[in-house]
Amino acid sequence: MLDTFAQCHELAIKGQNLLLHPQKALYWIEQKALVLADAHFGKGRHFRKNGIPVPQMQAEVDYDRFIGLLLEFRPAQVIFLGDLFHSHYNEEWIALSEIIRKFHDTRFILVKGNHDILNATHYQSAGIIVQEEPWELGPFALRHHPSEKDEISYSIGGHVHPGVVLKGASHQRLRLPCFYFGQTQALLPAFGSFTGLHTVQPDSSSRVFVIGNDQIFEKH
Amino acid sequence: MIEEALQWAEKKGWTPFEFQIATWKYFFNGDSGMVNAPTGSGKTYSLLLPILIEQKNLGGSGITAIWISPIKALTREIAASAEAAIVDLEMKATVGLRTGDSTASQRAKQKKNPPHILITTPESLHLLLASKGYASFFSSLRTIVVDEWHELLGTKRGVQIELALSRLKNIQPQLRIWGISATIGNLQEAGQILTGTDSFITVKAAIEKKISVIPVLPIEQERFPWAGHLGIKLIKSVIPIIQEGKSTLLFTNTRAQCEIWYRALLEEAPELAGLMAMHHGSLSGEIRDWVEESLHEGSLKVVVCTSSLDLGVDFRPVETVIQIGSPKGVARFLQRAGRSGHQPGAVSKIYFVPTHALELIEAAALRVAIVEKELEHRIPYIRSFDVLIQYLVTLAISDGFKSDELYREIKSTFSFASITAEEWGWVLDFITTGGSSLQAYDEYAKVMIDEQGVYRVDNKKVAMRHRLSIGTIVSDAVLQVKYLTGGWLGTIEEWFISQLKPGDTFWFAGRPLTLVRVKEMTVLVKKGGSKKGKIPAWLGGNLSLSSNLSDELRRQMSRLASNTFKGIELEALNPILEVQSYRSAIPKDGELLIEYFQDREGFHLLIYPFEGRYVHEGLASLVGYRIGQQQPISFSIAMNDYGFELLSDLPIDFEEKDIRQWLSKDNLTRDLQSAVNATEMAKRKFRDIASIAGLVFKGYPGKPKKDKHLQSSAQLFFEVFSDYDSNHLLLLQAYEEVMIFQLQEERLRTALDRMAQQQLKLTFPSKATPFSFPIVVDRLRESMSSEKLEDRIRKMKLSLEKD
Repeated sequence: MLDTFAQCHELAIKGQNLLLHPQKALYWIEQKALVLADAHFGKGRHFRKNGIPVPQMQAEVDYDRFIGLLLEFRPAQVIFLGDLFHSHYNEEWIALSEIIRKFHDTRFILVKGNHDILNATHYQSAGIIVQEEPWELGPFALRHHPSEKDEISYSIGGHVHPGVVLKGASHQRLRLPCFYFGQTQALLPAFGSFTGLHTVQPDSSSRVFVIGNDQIFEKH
Repeated sequence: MIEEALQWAEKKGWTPFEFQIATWKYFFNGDSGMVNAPTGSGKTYSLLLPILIEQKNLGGSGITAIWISPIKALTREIAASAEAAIVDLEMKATVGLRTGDSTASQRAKQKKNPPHILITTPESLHLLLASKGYASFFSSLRTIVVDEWHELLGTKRGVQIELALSRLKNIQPQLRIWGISATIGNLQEAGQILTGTDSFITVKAAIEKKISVIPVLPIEQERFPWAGHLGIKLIKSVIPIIQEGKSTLLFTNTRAQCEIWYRALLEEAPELAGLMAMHHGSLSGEIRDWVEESLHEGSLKVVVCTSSLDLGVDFRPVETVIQIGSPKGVARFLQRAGRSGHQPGAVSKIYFVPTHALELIEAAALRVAIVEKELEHRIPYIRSFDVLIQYLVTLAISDGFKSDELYREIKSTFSFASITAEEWGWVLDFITTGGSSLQAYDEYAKVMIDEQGVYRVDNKKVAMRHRLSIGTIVSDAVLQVKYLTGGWLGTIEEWFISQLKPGDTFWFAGRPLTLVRVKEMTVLVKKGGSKKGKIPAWLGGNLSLSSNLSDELRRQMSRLASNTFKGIELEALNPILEVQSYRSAIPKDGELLIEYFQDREGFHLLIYPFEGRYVHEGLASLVGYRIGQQQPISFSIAMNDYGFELLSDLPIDFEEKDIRQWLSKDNLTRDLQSAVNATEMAKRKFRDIASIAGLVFKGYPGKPKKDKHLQSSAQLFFEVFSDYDSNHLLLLQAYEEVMIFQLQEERLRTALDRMAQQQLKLTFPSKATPFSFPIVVDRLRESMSSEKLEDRIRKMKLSLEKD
């Protein structure tokens, strides 16, 4: 099965097998779960409604990436680690709901983030199950905000849109999005393409996987 | 009326200057024109007086004259002069100030009872155009004066003025327009742009100040540092100059340098405490006002300042001016020198403090350039679509506009003379539907077109946000620095404060402060703390040496090579020139020096065209790009005013003919464009454009950020437009600005022509030379690469430190 996902990076943690995908999502094999954070769907339209033009193509490309992942993994469940939708309701919610409806064999779960301010009925009618953080599943605590203190379970979250700086000879420097696996918690890169990058300072005990040119590289 | 002006002068016991009398005559004649006069020459009264006398004679209610000044501090000076003259003339007229400081009730009062003379800034004038009924507010207008036009011309604020004038001229076709400008290289063009006609009057003040440039050299046989930009090493030579003079202005090039010099002077000469002050653009208006008043009174021995004191009224007690580091241009140096020596016939003395050894050559170049008075041009901005978009929304907020009428109007400005109907259509689309990349059914809300074809903004939130973002000066997010006990000190950039934690000490406004906490947009501090606190660096571009100064620098350099250099700097220069000759070479007239060497950092290629850092940035990316076409390679680029460096972890395989190809004009436009694409130059230019055009909303000044869900960055917009809408006019504007202002394509072509005539002097030094050292140690680097991203990632390591 793994051969199918040649571009993924396989990682075993807490006895679980994860596939890190260069499209900024991870697949949790034991749970057959596609996990992604900070999609910020509807952001472009929210801006446009407020008189700030963002090309619609940006949103279309993100839908295509999302559908691509769903087709590639055929997951039993999709877990959004918060900031699924950027702000108040707008028509993009319909587009997203339609995608979700097409994959009726899949369970969609949202661990609520700070941007997720829609009414409960919107989530219901789209068929999304809402969970408050932390949501315990297997050995993991799934959340949106990184945990402030050390928890018993290893947590996986988003929110920060993590990136790291790479340095090379002759003052070469690159800043790239990453998956970040620390001692007590992991951070996923932001899935949405119209989102920024926040540089995190890795410590030596963490494992960092950067994303560049549709590939994943573990960096030390 | 001219008689009345003369009588006024006589009553005051003043003998008017010829240029003042001439200006009065032309003014009363109804002409438009330019007064070419330096700061402190009586230029204000050349126009203020006839405005008042005309008001006295013709009467009339409503605003009859608008005086536009680039800085708020100056508006108060002008208002005070006007009030004084009104008393002298025994007339009844009102003077009103309209700036960012005006309160809501002052603004409301002004609207009800407009003053006869309105003194304002370009931004506040645009805000007036954003308020309903502006046409009747301006219906009695006779005169507009733009003060310090030379300062505004080469900026987007100049474009703002052009646009506002085009509107006001439509309301008042008989409008008289006057500019006041110091001498610049393109004074004629400056006048044409402002008055919109070739037949305007130019009145020159025949006030020639003698200027003497004195280089400051180390007291003992101490060696000059090879690199650096602070100049602190020479502080022991600077202190006696301050002590001898009555009152001294010490000009630094950046706000950080200003803070650093202030602190160093306090440490080195504690007796100056209480007699010393600081003045820069991030200090609160209150502090700056106090400094300016004290300067007038002569109660300060020295003021450490930045360009914030370049403009404005004269400080009579100032006798001495000190310039730390290169002033980068002849005009700026002259302007600062002119701040001293006020007695008729007195010589303005300016001390030049080089910050590193090579700047000694610049001292010699400056002396010559000042005598020859080859002043720089101010390149006017053209086709600034960001400013146009902002302006159109401004008009749509107030009384709206019709497309055809406004198109004719803006086409009459210099900036938009070349706009095509297609581009105009794009701009209208942009403000109504968001532009071509959006879909038609989208509910984009900004500007609507009503049944009469008038473009309007109905959405109150859009209007509110727009009013708060009118202006073209874009700064990083800033926080207010306040004492816990009350009292505002100034503003500081967010990224600096983010590096500190409560309890840390930092230096600001010349004093150590302890950070108590950051609350929303305010930094609360208390006095005192460690003497060694951090000094904030404010982000700001490095200025580039002007072409006039570069030309002279090259001449001085070839004199050094041929032993005909005559400056008194020679002795101090000799030690480093010896090392330069020994390790590499000093380029002779007609020679282009190129150095190539390897050390543990990698392979250094240095080329020295002596053309100023902007042209070098263009040349470096061009050469880097062309080398990258021959082999996969990554460079980090650094440059200064003398040359540039391409540093790589891989060796470059080259001979003389390759260098000729790197510097060739073949396929220049194409290669230059590819080179710009390969760097982040356009992305950096886009930062201002995105903000001016209203893509990025900075939040409300001094208030906590609302509309959190509308926060984004210019960089994101740059990327999303590059990906999905690459013909976006604002994106193209960013590239155009890089070509005109950053790379200065014209200068770059001239430089390539010149280099094509030169002999190549290629040396292989064993290590860094005095010429290369200041460039090699620069850590603020642009990078470019023709390697595959994955190959670069594989070679690199995680950075564990904060940067």
